[in-house]
Amino acid sequence: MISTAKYWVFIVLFLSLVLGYSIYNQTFTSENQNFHSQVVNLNDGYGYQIMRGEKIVIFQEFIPGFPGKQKFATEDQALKTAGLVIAKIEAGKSPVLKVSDLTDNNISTGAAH
Amino acid sequence: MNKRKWYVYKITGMLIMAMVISSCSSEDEDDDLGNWVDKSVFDGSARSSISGFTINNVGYMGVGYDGDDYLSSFWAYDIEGDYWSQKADFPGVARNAAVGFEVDGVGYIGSGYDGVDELTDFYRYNTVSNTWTEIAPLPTARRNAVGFGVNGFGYVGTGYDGENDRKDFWKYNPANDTWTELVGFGGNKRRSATTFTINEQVYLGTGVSNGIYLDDFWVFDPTTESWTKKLDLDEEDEYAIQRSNAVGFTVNGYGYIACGELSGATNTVWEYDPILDEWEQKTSFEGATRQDAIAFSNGSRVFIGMGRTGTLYLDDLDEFFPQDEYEEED
Repeated sequence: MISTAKYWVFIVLFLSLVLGYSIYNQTFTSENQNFHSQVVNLNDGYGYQIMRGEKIVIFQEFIPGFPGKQKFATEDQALKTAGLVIAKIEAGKSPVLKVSDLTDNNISTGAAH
Repeated sequence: MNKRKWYVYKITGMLIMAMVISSCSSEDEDDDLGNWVDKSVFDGSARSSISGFTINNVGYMGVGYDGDDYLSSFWAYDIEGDYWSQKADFPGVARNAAVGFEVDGVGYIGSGYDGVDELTDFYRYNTVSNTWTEIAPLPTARRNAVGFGVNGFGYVGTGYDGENDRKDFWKYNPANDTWTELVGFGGNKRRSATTFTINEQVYLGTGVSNGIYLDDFWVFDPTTESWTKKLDLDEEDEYAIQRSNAVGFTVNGYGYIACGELSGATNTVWEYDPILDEWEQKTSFEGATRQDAIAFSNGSRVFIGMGRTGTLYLDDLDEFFPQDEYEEED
């Protein structure tokens, strides 16, 4: 009878360990996985990076889709453009920015840079 | 009471054994070498039949088809930093099934299909200035061709012209912006073949024509511009290399043919030893089975991603370690 009780204690302990481990794993992987952006100051203009948690997933030194090395003229424009990309990702769409996405949002291109 | 205790121990023992067996068997059933690591913290831009090239530690990919639209956007994957950047849009009409290759640090994309016509126009991409320039068009239109850069020249051959599969090859000279026909490919006409380059020797195989998956395998020596036939892809009974729409790449002196189409998308991977002229099967691609994917390789590391399985267009990227033991958990 005593060893049967021992058996049940062992089983309960074992199951709670497994459960605990799986919960720990779950929180570890789902932690801080939201997309967010950071504006990058490039001296003669601005770029942005899209982050997921601590990880850079898109680094955009130049205005996406445009030829050459055109930087964003203002911090605000870089931030706004990064916001468009995040909105697309969160809507489950491709993060591609089209020329129309930028002109619709009054992002100036082909400027002095 | 003793009998009950005995049952309890018996059941416990069986449970433990079942757990041990189930946790081991998943690792033991596959003896092939090669490990896959999922890099997709972020999923890129889903598309198939894309074109691209790898220059230094950056993989470039663009154009393609996403199930709704032919695409012209163009992306760079930084191998060291593990992040993407959207680069200058491809300037030609949006297309898929184009060829992409690198010659002396410059990228090239051209030919392909825009949903109506097979195309001839060709463009070069300057990675430093992030700009595209149109170059001389390929003399005959085609899609699903092969393209490779070697020894200072670009080469494009095989493919489908809208009516027929092709076997002709063309050589591009960047110095005078001209294409000249290259004779001497002894293989059959085909579309959706694969190449990889080891030590300046270009290996070509797979592809399909009139529903037949081709089994011949060739090596091109760019110094003599001659083709030599190698061991057939079905020479050994266990070989199952024939397919179309695969990716080819090189890592540390070995060539690889991975994924592709063989009456449906496949995920098998084969390794070619150029010294022995022999093939060995590796661990199959870990993500969804796929065709029309892309591989970025800098010679020592390789990443495979995008493509499609049926009508599902994929955007994930996996790194392949050909000589590592397979681990499920990464």
